[in-house]
Amino acid sequence: MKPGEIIVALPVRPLLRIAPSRFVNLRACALRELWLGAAQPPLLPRSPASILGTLAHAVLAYASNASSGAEPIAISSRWDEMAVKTDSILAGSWLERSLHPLSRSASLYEVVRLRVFQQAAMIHRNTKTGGSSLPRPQFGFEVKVCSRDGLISGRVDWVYPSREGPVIADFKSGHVLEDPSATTLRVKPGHQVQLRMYAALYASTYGQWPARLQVVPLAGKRVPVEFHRPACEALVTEAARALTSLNTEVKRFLASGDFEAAQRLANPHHTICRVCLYRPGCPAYLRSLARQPTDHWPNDLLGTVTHILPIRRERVNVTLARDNGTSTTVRALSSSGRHPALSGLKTGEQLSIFNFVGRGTKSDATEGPLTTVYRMTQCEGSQTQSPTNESHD
Amino acid sequence: MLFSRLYFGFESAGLGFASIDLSPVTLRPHAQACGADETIFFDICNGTIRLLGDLYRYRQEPQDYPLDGWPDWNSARALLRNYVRQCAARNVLDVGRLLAEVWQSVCGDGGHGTLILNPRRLLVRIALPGDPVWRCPSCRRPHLHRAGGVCTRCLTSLSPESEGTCSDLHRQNYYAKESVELRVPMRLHCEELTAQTDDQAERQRHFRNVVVNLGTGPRPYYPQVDQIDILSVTTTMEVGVDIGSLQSVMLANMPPMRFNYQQRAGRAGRRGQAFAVVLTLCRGRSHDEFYFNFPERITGDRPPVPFLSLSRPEIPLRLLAKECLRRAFRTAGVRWWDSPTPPDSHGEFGTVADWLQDQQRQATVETWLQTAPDVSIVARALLTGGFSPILPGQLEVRIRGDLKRRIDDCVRNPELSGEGVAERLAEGAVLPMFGMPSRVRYLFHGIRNRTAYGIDRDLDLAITEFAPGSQKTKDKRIYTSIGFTAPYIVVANRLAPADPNPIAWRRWMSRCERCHDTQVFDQRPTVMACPECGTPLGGSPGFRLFEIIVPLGFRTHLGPGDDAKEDVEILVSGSGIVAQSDSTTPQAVVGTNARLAFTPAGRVFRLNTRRGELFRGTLGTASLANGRNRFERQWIDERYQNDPGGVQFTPAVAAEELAIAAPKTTDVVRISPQGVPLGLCVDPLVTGIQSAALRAAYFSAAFILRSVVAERLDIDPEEIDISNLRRILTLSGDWVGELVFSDHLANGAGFTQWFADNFAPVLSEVTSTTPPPGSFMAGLTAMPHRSRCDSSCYDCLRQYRNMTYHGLLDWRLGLAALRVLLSSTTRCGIDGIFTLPELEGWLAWARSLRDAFMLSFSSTSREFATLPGCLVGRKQVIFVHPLWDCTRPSQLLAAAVADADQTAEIRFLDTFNVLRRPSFAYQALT
Repeated sequence: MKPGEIIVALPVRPLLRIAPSRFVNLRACALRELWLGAAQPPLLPRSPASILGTLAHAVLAYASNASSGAEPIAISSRWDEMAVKTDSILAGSWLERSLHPLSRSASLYEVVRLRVFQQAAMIHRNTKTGGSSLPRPQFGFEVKVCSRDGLISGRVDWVYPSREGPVIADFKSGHVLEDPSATTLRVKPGHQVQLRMYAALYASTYGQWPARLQVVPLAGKRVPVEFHRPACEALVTEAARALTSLNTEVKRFLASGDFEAAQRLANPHHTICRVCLYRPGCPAYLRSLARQPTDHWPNDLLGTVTHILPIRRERVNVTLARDNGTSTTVRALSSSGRHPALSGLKTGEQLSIFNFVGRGTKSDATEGPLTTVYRMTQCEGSQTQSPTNESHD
Repeated sequence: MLFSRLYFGFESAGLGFASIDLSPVTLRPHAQACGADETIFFDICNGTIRLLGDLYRYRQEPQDYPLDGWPDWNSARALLRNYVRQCAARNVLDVGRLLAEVWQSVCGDGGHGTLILNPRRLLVRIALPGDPVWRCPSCRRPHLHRAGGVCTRCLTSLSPESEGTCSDLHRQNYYAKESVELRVPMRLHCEELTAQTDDQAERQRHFRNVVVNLGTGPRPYYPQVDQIDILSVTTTMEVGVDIGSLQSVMLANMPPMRFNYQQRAGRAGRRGQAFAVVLTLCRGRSHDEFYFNFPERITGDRPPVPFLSLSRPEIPLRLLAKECLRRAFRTAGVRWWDSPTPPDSHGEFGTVADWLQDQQRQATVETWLQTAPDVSIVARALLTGGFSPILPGQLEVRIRGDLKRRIDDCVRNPELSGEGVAERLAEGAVLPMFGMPSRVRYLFHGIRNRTAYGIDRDLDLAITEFAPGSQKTKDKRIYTSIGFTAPYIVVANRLAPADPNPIAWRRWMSRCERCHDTQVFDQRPTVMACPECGTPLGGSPGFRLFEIIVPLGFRTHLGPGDDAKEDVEILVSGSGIVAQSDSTTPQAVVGTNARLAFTPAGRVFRLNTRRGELFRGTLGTASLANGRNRFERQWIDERYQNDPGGVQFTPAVAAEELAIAAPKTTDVVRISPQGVPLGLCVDPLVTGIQSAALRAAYFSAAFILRSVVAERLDIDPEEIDISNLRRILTLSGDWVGELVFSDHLANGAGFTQWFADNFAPVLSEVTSTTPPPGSFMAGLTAMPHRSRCDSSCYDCLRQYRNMTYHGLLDWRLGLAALRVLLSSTTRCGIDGIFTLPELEGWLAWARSLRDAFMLSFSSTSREFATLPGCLVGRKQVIFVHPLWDCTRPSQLLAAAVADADQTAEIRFLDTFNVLRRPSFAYQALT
């Protein structure tokens, strides 16, 4: 598959395991998790905030794994080293080149960097003040947890002791609360599910239930998450059942060659698809978008090219006509290199433009850093692959 | 007079009150029916009458607002209904019955049907000095009767006891005092005297009580009638008019500068008068407020040092051209009678038509210019004294080698519209203008005795003041412009337009409301989108394509005009200056962080688009309703075609939409940052309230640059126009602002060219921490100015002529923006260094603004790392410098954000907005 060209309907394979952090996503859209599990490369660029979050987590993991606790200078060097590596990946990717360097594309780059250093310092203090003498492996950072059947597993960011018992803490670099302006602090539902599953898995792995669950933002107070043991266990049971059921179905349609069946696992909905990086290759999403394009859907367009207008500075306006007869012009798309799909583009061709900026009205659709353009090519079916390892945490 | 709601009301002055016209015999049964005391009921009815007056429930001429009848209480205004209800409560009466009986008394027997006052059924009760007064304890409104115990303005209960007498009111009320003391009426005949007054000499004679009948007026004059007591004048009266001894001068606003004030005030108290009075009314605008607070500045400021520009070769060159051409044309046999009518005030060089036809004349002039010894004699004479660095030989070469070509260019330039050769040469910057507006356009407002009467303005002003829909006052009449016409001249013993086409110049303009790219075309172009940013035609903000025109003249319906009323708002359409975008690629200026593009002979337009709606109308034949003043080839706005306020109109062609333009060819220089320094935002259209601060930074920077250039060139800053601020993309894809400067004079005076050539040293001087002593920058950054000026003042950036920018101007922001132009490493304090003059003490100042903000709005103090802030509810508010990039926090700001609680919202308030509009800033948080 060449950059800028896509074959609709990507291959899938069964999942061996699932992490608590992915279970919420599995519930939302199984197909997306299957593609992720099959290590399919994303078809859209990640958001800079997400890349930054990954970088932050990696540096914190380094800080927690350092045997004698990482000194601030080492953390700073580690950050720089990983930032260079991240930038190198961005620069080498036709999808994410526009996000290079991350320090420019991620608006809170410097803020997150400072916050990571603060957290790393906290970890360092914790390690120095006896954290290293705590019994391993049930305390400390990056604590492994697993269900008895091995289907659900993951790593808890941090488990530390308290008078009442172990406390499970999960670091979050992004938004933590469901409504930041509300007076009552309510953690996002996805984070709650993740932590409650950690509680049950921790009990299953180490025979002891945690006393408290906490979300730890990089700055600010830790936010508690309430839990009830039966509900936590029920979540793990539900996750295992969902995984088994999904794998059964996947195996069935792989065996029967019913590739259309995989698409039935998709759950196209604007809240889910908005954050999905596979939607250019998801027939279910593309059909939904074509059928009911509303303000809620992501800023994506599919249609036939009706007009191409070159403007200054090697940019073009591209007008797409949808099947329903409406048309939209996306203006000032970079025609030199950034979007391979625009090379040699002619009117009458099928094109899709994802993540344009603006409301899509007559004149305000334009290119943003995440905008991606594809020429659409239909394929007959998906390919089969062997089962993958566990999904990422 | 009876019902004025304020201080001037008849009852409020203690003179008396309007009363219902009913006898006690008629009122009694109504009072009894609702169980009220007769006196109380009578007072309630009179209170109702007063309220009806307050609500303008009477017929007026003209009736500006519809006066609909109120068939019942439910239809009436709540205030009126509630008044009667309050009266019922106050006097323990049944509400329904009282409402019914008051209705019957006022609307039925009283004759004020449907609650509309009938003046013939009102009595006026005259108050005596000893009559009691009831004052409202809340709003202090006086009542000359008890009004049922309820205030007729705010419905507060009135005290049963009276509070003073009418004589107390008389003492406090100017008009009441004049009235009760029976002062002899004084005549006050007021007329205006302006440059537009048709017979200024007659107006002056009448003001000096010299009334003679010369037979030129519309009627015989009588001293008792026509002598004038008060003259309402414009700046025309400032100099050159001997108006005699004035007892008093009243200035309706604060004059621009000290010498203006002295010229005007000095009109009073001459010729041996013992004393005179000068009263200056200050309006609620920054200029007037400043001098109201510092009156000694307008009466005793040091006079500005007069200056003469000796180093600009363009100036003596134009003078030399004028004298040489005078001699050359004279040699060619051209005399004053060869000039157009009216005469060409720029010189006696004949008409353009004659020049083009008469090859002999051209040859003679050319030969004279190339060979006559006079050229060198005049050049040497002009540069006598040795004060100028220009050499006579330099000028002589240009006259001999280039002047003939420049004449040909000017006479063939379609954008120069004068009939006379001299006028075109002046407009083309070949001859000096001497400050004379030559692009004059008339607004014709009347025809009398085969003479068209009008008001004139320079084209720059005419496109707004005379645009269709705009109104002008002249001699107590309001004239509304309705369209365009060529000037009227007498042809075959009758008036007719001098030109068959009232529109002298037409072009097409494309303009992008998003990126402000502007292009001008001879013909309608086929562009479908902005060539710069791709915004398609239409939409809002969008890319627009429209026709621009320059009319030969403007016209009203040519009728008598409307009565000028007091306090009427005169309508004027707005305009703005735009510079045509050009293909000149900006070049990086070495040693700075700026890109600069200089365009000689760039096009600048002052444009009136009717706020984007354009003027829609067409050519046709127009006349008054009675058929008089009928003219063909008139362009009439659709709003006034066959309309009672317009003309009878028969269109000749299809309607069109257009904007009115005052084009100018002049030198243009564009300056923008080449890159955006880390941590700063210089996008003038950034989202949120910070954009106002960024625009302020750019305009302040522009005014600082202009002042310094003017100082270096020894010219008036007004010689350089600040055309507009555009938003452009840098090569690295960041949005920045682009400042556009142009020469004020048509065809350029060389000032912006000098600015472009010397930008780097000028910028270096502006941003130097050790500016030359006595310079503009030295004054700006001197400690006394720094300590007393928190934004801008008349000692730094404010001037009378940039009044519209006063709210934006801020020398600190301007200087900070200039440092961005100087270096991409400037940090504007975000690196924690606040030592530069514009940043010194910023943290403490921001903290004091935060504290003041907290006094006004419910919030809690909170420091975010080193930055001041507060908590508004759960929102964490950080106070920032207006140039800091809040979307991508860096250094100090990053530390502050990192210090904030991640679980609560973070907002930013910049010191520019908090200082100027704290309420707005607070609103922006919610």
